[in-house]
Amino acid sequence: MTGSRKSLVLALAALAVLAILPFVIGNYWLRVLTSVFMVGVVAQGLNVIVGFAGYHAFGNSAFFGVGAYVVAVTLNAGWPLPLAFVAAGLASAVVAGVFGWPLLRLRGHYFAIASVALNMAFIEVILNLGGVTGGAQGLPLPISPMAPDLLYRIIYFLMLGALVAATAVVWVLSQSRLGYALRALKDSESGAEVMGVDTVRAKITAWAISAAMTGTVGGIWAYWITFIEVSSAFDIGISMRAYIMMLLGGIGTVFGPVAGAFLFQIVATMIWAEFTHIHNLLLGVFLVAVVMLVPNGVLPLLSRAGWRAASARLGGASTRLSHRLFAREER
Amino acid sequence: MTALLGLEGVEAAYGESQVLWDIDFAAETGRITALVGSNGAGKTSLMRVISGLLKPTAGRVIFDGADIAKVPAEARVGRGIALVPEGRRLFAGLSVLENLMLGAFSRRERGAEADLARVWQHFPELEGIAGQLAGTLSGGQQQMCAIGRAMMARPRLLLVDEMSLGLAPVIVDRLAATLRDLNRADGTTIVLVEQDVDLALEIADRGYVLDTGRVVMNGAAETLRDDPRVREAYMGMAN
Repeated sequence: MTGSRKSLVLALAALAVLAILPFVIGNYWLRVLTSVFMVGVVAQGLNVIVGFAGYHAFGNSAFFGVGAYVVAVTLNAGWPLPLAFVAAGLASAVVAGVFGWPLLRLRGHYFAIASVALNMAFIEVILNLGGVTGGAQGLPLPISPMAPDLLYRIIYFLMLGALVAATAVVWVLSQSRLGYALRALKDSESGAEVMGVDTVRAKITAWAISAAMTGTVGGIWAYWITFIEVSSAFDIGISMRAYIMMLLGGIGTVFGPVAGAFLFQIVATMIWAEFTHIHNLLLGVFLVAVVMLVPNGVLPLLSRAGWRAASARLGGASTRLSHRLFAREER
Repeated sequence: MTALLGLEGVEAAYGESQVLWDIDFAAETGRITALVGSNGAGKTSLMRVISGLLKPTAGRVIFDGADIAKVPAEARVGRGIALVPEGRRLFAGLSVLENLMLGAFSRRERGAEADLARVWQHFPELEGIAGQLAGTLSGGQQQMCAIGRAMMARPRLLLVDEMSLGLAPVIVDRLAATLRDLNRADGTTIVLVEQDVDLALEIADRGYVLDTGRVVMNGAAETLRDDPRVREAYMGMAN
């Protein structure tokens, strides 16, 4: 069995287990897993712009907040739920496209700071649009007529579906010309330009994809908690946790952010359960140790021959992809 | 002979610091043109202007009869301009084959596989390490990969910046032979930037001498090669 087929079989088996779990676990673990899926999607979104394109968008939480407010406002206006979620993803992608045009001209820590500033700017905008957003008082969402247990299971499956969809998008991206262009510009932007890559368009597209993922789960989160306000919707801590998960699992890999999300949440929950008073300290020590000992993430480490072999396989996959892409054009 | 590339009164600057003054330059179709000069003469800046990485502050860049001064770098590749940059600048995190395929990124036509076969023909050692990350290659292999990557674009104008830098003479001879072959067999027009004046003027048909951002001499390569003023005044190689 080839490596990619093994990964697919493992992923399908994991999905089957996750599909059964809500009917056998309690509400606490249901909430924990729903949160894991949610931040896992945010991590996959970061993976697109950070892992593939090399742009450290610490302020991606801005899109989470935009998605949350779009769903809140549209549901209050009487829109159907699926349309509200689609609007959340689209609005976030448009915001990324509009602001990406000037911001993605910045590089390195300048872009990272600018993305954080975008998040802060949105907080001010929401606070000053009180008539629509509820301002500092927050915004309630329509209460679902469903029984709470059923609603939480539906939220669980919505978040799981979003994670599967986001991972599928990242897989497709990794196999596409855009993914190829992003990996090139991550190495050298001017180098990619002289190869014919329209780097501005590639970066904006990547950030819009990243934002659409983040905004969609922001919208689902708003529907889940039924009341939003700026400090929780635009909480940069969401980006930070997702960033850690991405690093933990394996930056620039398809399943790394997913693995990182589970690992982070499991370790954090275990530490919290056993060492309540010092759990943040111990979690910090764990993360520092992981970053120092496994800088490329745990997923590549778990592969039999380590990161080098994983890179070679990734290279091999891309090599096959190159042949496929160009062969397709030749036909 | 018509010029595939012509620069007229080109000036360029990095911020406030001007690096090129009133450059007139022509690369004739199907010929190799050398651009020589000492360190800091402005050779690489001129290559950046031609490839689109540095916008000129004045003057015209004429390629195939059209002014491309405002055409972005990525669009110039589609017009047939490929660059082998100074220091090779391979994508270290991508494999050799992926680097080569990136050379054909802007191409939407048939024949990428055939071009790849030609690269293997010129540099057979690359085929055996096609899956290896480019960042792990030796200097010579990197330069072969960089030239191969440019070949994949099937360029009409090939810009080669400091090809011989840091390489063993035997490797430089092979690379020079490849350039000659590309020029003679395919009719590729080549602009070669070199600090090694002997090498450049040996390969080239014409030469330009740059000094502190200005063209100070130009003519047939043979003439320049035998002109003691080139060495004495600009290369610091007078006997």
